[in-house]
Amino acid sequence: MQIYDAAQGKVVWVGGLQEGQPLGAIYGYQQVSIFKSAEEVAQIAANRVDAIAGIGGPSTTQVNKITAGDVNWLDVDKNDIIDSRDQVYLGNINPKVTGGFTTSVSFKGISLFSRFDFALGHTIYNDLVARTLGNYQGTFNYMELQKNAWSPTNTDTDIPKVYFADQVGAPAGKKNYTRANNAGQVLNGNNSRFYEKGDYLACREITLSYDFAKSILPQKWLSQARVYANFNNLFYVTKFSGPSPEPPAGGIYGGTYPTPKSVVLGVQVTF
Amino acid sequence: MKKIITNILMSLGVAIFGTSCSTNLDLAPISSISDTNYWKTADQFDAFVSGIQARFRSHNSSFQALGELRADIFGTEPGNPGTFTGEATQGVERMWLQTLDLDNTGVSNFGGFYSNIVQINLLIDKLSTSTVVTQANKDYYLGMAYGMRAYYYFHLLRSWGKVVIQTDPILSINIADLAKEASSEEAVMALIKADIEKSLSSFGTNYAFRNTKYFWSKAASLMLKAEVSLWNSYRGGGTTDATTALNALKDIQTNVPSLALLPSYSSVFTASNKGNNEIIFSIRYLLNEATMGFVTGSFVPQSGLIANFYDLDGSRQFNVTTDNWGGLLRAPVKTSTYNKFNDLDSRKLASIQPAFRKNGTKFELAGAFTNKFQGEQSAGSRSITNDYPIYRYADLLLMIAEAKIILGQSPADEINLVRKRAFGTKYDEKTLGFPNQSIDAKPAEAILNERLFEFVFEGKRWYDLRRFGNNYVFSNTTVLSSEAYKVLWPIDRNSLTNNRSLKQTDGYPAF
Repeated sequence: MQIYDAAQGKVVWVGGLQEGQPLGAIYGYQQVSIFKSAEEVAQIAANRVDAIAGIGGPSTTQVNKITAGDVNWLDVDKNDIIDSRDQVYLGNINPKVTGGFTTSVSFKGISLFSRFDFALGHTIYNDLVARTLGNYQGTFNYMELQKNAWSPTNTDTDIPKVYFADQVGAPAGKKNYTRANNAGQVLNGNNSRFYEKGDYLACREITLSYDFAKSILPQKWLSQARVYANFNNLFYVTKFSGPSPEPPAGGIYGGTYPTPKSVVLGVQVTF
Repeated sequence: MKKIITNILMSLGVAIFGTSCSTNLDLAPISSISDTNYWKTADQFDAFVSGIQARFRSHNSSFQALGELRADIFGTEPGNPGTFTGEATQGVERMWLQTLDLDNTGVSNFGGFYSNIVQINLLIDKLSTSTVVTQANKDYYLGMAYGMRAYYYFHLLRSWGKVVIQTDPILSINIADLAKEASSEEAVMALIKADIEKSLSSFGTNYAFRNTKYFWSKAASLMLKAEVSLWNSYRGGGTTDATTALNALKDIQTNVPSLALLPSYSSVFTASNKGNNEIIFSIRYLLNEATMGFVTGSFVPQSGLIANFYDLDGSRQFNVTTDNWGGLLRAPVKTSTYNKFNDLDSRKLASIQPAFRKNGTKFELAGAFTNKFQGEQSAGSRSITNDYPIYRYADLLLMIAEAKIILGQSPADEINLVRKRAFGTKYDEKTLGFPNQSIDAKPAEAILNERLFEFVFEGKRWYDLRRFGNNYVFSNTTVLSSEAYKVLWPIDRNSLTNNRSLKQTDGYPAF
């Protein structure tokens, strides 16, 4: 795709598979703020035309208007037209760094083993939240976050006003939550608010075990005895709002079952 | 002992090396099909021709979308952005609202037509050098190939104007040089005309249909010739082109006497009546082979949702057993279109299913959808297995009428044949026949209207309006005369990115 690069002052080719560019780069529209009121729309976006949603500011000839509760998009090339050139770099679907470490501590008969891994630098498009808030279809459930959406009494927010079928352009929807999405899931070209950092530290395993001292074992029957508890996938340390911050296929989180947590309790004896 | 083992191992080694080097590694693939081992037998040519028809079928949805979705048939009701059943229009509304752009093109990648054009090019190339195909088949296949290529380019010309022309087979690809510029509209039209003539001369005097009319035939090429000539007659060709059209259509009537209107309009389309006497060329669907996916994808409602509504004037409530459309209604028929039909016209309910809402004790019209292609019931579910007609005899009659109007002759005979069939026993020449309907005072309008009633859901209306002239597009659809560039379609971003020599259709924003 082609976007306007403010640094170079011209339109450049980005994304996809190109020589000299990284794989998995994400481009989309930057949400600067949510218009608090009609006055703010008139002040900031009087002459703006949002070519993606097919709406325009109060001074434009567009039939369908930008109103309070809509997104104030970043107009990168400052030409008062929001179109595909106004997209910005929003991250990369692939982590920059991945790694892991283990620790093993023991004291007398008690030992503790832990295994952690992490990934840093990847971005996840939270399609599930965008799609649900965007009311793609009348049969969707609502979510808690919707309470934070813009309303006349809640003007200072980063969640746009709720409309039915946001994904459809004017006059039905405003394309506030999603811009490129329609029926299918699309990685690029949506609202920056719903691209989240995926950095995480995962606690994969903790094993706590106790070896009985040989002195207390009945030597005739048992040579060794141990009890242990093994915990898997206990928690993630992450800012990602979904259940699993691990990079989803294609960089799009569209809803998934959480990673299963498991606990194994065991006794190990040697005769 | 040790020596013996060494000897055994050595002789084994000799045996292994000896055998592995004896066969030639330079083999041609036997089991996989490639260009080097194909085209050896007549069967392979037959299979390739069937493959081209199958690929043609996969473009059905594009043919239909290009042909009528932007016209005045489909749309939601005023004041309701969704459909009457509550389903979202999901971007299809951009076609009838004329809000297409390079990210929402309605039909992208030129309908995928080039995928078949390159196959047709390859077939023409191989047929011209092959000695394994019989002369009769070679002529028939060349007639099909040229005719279908012209049909594709006629779609491309009417929808995008300037388009890339590719007539040579692609046998090798230079990855560094994939860009190709579009050719002028004049050049595309010249190609279409030349291909039609090559098709007709290849068919020669062979008017026979093959495979119950789902193979392209000489009659199909003549229909295309008439359609192209009529298009040109409104664009400077005048009576010369109208005469060409008339002669092509008369040629079919003379040489294919089996063609006729069926007595009942709805029976033309039923799944059990494939290749009937009215059909000239159609796209074949068959149970357990292929169904019209685009019908259930956008044009008929979910069974559970339509069950909330009532049939004509509340005569019965729909139910999920008999009205198991099992689709998604993205593109309903506008009730204003439904109401344009005369109640006595059998085409009304054979093309459009009205849905009524109960309001107190009264029933009011809530919306409508197409029911022309009803498919068949199979194991409790509906399969849309009707054939999709590309050309049929009613089209031929109405094109004769159209050509006659341009030539200053009376179109009454042909129009009235179509009207008589449509109204059946209710037909009264004094009130319904040409020129006795009020619309008949303007013969061009009468033809357009008759074609609207006759060809709902057959991908004709938008092209008809375009053929008669852009003013008809402006007065009948939501395209404004101040946005005349919108009579053509925008090119999608992918095509523009992959072919950097391609320019966006004039008038549409480049970004």
